[in-house]
Amino acid sequence: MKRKTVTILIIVLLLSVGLIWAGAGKEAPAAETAKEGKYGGILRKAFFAPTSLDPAFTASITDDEIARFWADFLVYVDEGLIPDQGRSLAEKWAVSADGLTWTFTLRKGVKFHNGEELSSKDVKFTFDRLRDPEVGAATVAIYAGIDSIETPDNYTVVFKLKQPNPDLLTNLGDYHAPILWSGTKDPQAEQIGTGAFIVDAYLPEDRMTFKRNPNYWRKDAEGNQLPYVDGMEYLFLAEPSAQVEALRGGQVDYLIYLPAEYVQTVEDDPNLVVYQKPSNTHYVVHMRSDRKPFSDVRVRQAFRAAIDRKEILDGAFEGLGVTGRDTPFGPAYADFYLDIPELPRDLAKSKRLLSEAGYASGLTITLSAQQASPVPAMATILKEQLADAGVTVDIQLVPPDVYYGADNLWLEADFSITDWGARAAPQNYLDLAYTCDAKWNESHWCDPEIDELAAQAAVEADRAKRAEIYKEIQRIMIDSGPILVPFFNNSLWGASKKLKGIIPTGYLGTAVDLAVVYFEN
Amino acid sequence: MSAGGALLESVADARIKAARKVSRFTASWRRLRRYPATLVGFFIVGFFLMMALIGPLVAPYGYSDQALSERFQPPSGQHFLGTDRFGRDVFSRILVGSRDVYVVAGSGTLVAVLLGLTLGLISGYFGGLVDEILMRFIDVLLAIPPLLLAMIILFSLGPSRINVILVVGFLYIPMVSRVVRSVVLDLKTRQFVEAAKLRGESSLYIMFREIFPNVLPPLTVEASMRFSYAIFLVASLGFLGLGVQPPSPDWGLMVGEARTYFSQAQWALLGPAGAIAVLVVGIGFMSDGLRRMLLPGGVSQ
Repeated sequence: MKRKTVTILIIVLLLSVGLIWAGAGKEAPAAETAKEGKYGGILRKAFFAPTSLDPAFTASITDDEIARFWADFLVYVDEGLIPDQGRSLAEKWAVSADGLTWTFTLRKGVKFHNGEELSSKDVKFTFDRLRDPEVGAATVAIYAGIDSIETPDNYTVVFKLKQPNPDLLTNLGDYHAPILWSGTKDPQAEQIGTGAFIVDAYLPEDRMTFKRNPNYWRKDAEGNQLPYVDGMEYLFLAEPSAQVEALRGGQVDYLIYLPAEYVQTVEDDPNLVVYQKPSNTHYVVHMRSDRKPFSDVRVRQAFRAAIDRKEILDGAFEGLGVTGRDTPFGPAYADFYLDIPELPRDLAKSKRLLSEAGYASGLTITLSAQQASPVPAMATILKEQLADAGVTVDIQLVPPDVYYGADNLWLEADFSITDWGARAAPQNYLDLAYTCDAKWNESHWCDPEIDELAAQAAVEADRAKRAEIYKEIQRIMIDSGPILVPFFNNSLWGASKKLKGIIPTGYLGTAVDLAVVYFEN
Repeated sequence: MSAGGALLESVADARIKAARKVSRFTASWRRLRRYPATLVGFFIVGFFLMMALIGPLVAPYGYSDQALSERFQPPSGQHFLGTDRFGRDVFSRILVGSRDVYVVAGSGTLVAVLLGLTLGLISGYFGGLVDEILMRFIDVLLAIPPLLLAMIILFSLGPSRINVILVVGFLYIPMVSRVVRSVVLDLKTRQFVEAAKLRGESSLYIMFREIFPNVLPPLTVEASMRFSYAIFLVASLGFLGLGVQPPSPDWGLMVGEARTYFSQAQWALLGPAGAIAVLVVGIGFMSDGLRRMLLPGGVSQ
């Protein structure tokens, strides 16, 4: 080659290397080191973009998380499913002897981000909106039992109920119910709450930024005002792999809903740590019971006997959780949970039942599954397990927005896998999905006995009696129910080792209190 | 010249002609032997083709046999390329997956070749307005990034193998038709075409009996190149999860699935990725070889 050509080539090469080097160097600035003790730093995290900024229409995990940054709850229900008075806007509450009147006293001097003081009219505004069928929030059914909400004075709110509701506190702590400023005209556009962070900017498809609320009402144990961090940046990244790469690359400090298959990768990184907490989050494999083949209870029982839940937990979620018993009740519900041994795998029984139901020569069925971890892995393992019983499963993967999209595939499919987050009280699952007329009864199951028991449990104030009713419900579901619940998985977070104060929770998996986290130097 | 002498001469002529034909072939073969890469290419393509035919029979394990107690095993005597997250043998899945590769990418290429050939012949032979319209349509198709177009079409039509084959075919019609058209444009001015026209042969006859045989060599070379592109496109679609469902041993899908646990089992990703690379490169070598064999003098000869 001629010398001139070689020289030009070398120059081009050096330029390219230089450009690449310069480009790679441009990263988001690292968190500022804490100025004084725990204070300082910008907390950066990444997750999917929100679908709704109005808490009444919270539909996704992101929606729920974001609402918790800028707003607070009348009654904050912690992960022990116990109301936490220290984090609630209500200072105290009391219920009348007949269980029909609940009186809440609000904290004084709590300021909204616009300077207005929190008063009873804001609580009334929030809950009237949530129970109004015209507004059409997801909570209309939960709050249907509220007869009226009265505000005798600025700091007192009275809820009058149609019938006693022992779960009222947990219902008022529903994730759709953070308290909004009563002057809010358009909750999608304005986010005015009492929360630790003030919404700074919302850039759709890109990120949302928050500033520290300098007048936040919560203080730590030493009387220092919360939060510790100066602000927050919430990047919208749709791919879990992109989120994990951002964490490993130092562009974010904190990740929620870490998919189980990345746990090893994050743990292997010396700068990162994985947090876990058992939760009631689970995946329902529903068998549509109002038509063939699952209308025959023997087919449902055959499927139940054909699967190995431990194998699915290990293979799809790296064993990070506990096996289920095919009901939405998990060990997280303590005394409400029917604690029986593993449901055994019995292929002979399965084949016999299928044969009795008329499927001796085999059964073919399509399994609809969303393309979100760990569902595809669950489907793959289920397919092989059911094949051992003579059932041929055709997996049909669809993107999550198709699964939950306009055609509501998840409510129509005969056989599909749906994710269900942890709920404050198991009654919620019954009311939402397992009674005959439940709005989200994806398995189209109708057992009048279940309806009756669920109705009884809803008003039963005695915890022991309630537990008995719930256990009876579980027994029925294990015998003839329409769902397979292979496991209850742990909630998983990934974070930088520099971020301290993270207290993992089981409830809804995202409710980590970001007001108390701080950066260590 | 005497009759006997004439006979001898024609026999000798025939012998020389035959010898020329044979020697043309052996000359091609000898030419090829100077390029070992081509031989390697033929071998690779042939190997995977054989796997496409008998893969499930010779693979050590079933492609969907799970063994959840043997997840993430590194390559060993038992598992030549290790196991994936379900304990499935990676090597067996690659072998069985060859069938999907050949069937889907191969059929797609075939569709592209047949339709591209037809379009190219018509466009090149008739010229004029027909040619203009067809070529503008082709230009539009060429302007859109193939993967993007494939994704859009698959999202609307729904993901299924047939749809992937049709999409791949559709996407590669432009290149094939262009190659065919350029050959036809050159050929249609030749004397044998003029002669056929004078004889009163129909356009169809001329296109398929006179022109087509001469289009065949460059078309074959183009087809083999398209095949390698098709494999890559199908693998990309599989990687994105379009058009294939688990537990299909589609190489692209295997790569996509293995990406999430790469740090635990690199072989589960490198195996199928390597297979894709090897096959695509092998086809590339083979096309080079075909070009040397069929078109020793260049595209239009």
